[in-house]
Amino acid sequence: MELSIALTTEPDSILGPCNPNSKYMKVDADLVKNVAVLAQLKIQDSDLEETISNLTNVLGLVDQMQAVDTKGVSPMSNPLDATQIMRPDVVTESNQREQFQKVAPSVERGFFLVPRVVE
Amino acid sequence: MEQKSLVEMLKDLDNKTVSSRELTEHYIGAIEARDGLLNAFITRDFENALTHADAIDQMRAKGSVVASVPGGAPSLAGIPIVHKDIFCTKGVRTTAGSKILENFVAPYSSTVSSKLEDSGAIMLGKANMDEFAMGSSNENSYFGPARNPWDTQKIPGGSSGGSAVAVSAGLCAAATGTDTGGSIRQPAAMCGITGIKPTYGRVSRWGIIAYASSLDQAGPMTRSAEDAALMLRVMAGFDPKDSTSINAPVPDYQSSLNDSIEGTKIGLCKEYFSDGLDEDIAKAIDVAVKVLESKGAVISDISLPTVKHAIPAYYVIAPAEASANLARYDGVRFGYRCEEPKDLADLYLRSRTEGFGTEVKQRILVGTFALSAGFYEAYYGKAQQIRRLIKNDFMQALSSVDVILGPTTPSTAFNIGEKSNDPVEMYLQDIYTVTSNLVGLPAASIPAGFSKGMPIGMQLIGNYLSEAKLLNIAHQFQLETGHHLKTPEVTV
Repeated sequence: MELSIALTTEPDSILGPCNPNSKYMKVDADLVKNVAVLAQLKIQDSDLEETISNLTNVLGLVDQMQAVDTKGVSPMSNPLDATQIMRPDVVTESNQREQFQKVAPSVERGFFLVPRVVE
Repeated sequence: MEQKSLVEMLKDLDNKTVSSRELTEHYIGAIEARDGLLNAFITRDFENALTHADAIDQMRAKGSVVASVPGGAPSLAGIPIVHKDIFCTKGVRTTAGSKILENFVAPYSSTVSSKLEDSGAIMLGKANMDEFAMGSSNENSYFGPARNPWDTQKIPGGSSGGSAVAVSAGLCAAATGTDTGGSIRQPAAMCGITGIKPTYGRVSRWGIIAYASSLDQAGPMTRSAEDAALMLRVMAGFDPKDSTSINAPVPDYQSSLNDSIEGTKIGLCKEYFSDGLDEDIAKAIDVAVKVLESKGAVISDISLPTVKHAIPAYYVIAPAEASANLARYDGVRFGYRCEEPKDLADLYLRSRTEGFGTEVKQRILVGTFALSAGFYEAYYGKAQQIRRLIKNDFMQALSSVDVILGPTTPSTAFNIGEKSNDPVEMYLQDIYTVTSNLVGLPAASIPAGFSKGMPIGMQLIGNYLSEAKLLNIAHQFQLETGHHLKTPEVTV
């Protein structure tokens, strides 16, 4: 649980000033565009208005959570409060590179091909 | 033939009054006649199905098909089924209803599909679904919506819509589905079949294309509770390859189906009968409760005050986990890649933008926002706390009753296109179902009547690992009622 503290003490997010206490999150074009960059998605200008409207509605729905008193309640990540199962540290899988690369869009000599990254 | 239960079909196969080839050909004929209209299938795999059926028939002729397979699970040898197209099946493409996986052929099979194959079940093909299981109507499929066989102008529910249609319309003997917020139970209710979402961790998630990993669970979709008991026995069990798999023995769900339900305590959650519930559904559930009461069940009213927070919490947790799970679709290792990317950034951006559908992109955006620095605690953290509060409510209620009963959906199936422009209205479809995903409890939907010709579903929610109890109650109900035996007439 210590891990989450680092995330929460960050004063500002790259989406703008952080105000988690605001009752309704204002969704505007800048917010949508910034989130889209994080998500590696492009929102076409023609879809921007509809996306803003839909996200406003969805965040309006989820903002109903803010009215719930959760002080001192520990977050639940697994229904049975189970922790990660560890397996013995032994090799169980063999290398199947060729089989896995069969489904890749573009490969060459065992490598995944992408556009040139370094000039 | 399609009216028969799995147990009856297996008996016929064992007695050689029917062969697996005949069964398989029967369903292939039904699919070819009706699926042009219903669109329940994304991929048909008839050739392999017939080859497999012949192999099973030959084994049976030699007497080498046994009543159970390793691990004690029953044999389904020769029974034709379909898988939701979210289960990876080696050699047969798996699309998750998405353009981004339109040509994806998995190099391995999911644990569930392997187990069913090992039990001798024949796979007819892969069933239609909302893209990446995100949807309640099947309208978000890249391959077009499946249609409800009770009225083909209406949605079948989602996301496991194709599976529900295939079972309901007699295109297969049984099907698999997955349920993240109601995706087995809601289409089961809307198509008039039986579906069960098991306890989180009861069925392995390995090889199932991930949507929201802390909520996803697979289960059977069948004509009856008896069939579901047989299927679930095969599907369930510990899997070391799924880190949240429950290491507990799988009971013989069939053996408890005929237990008396006298004295079983059933709670009616008053929050599930509030505003917004269709009147005919409320009446049908009332009648169903009386049936269970006549079998000796003890009915009481209970309250789950925090369930009203379930939808908001769900629509943070599910998109948040989805945004992380769907980050893997980058156009590099598998899946769709855009044409002529000008650089790596362009490759990522356009492959994802062109490959994902509208609703999926929207949920990725919501999830990315909810997980972003500065907002994480207010959204994801808060939702996980609310999840705990809802669990506390359920544990309190389940200390005084054995199961919680209510409607599966607030309305029967609606028209295709009716709600597709309003995400929030669509999300409210899941109002009675998301809670058991958030809490991880098993829940079943069984047919409870009809309203204006459309099926009504009744939901039973039980304590952890109480699938046997849910199936027992469902079976006892189905012994007294004929709703689950009714079949739609599909005229092409």
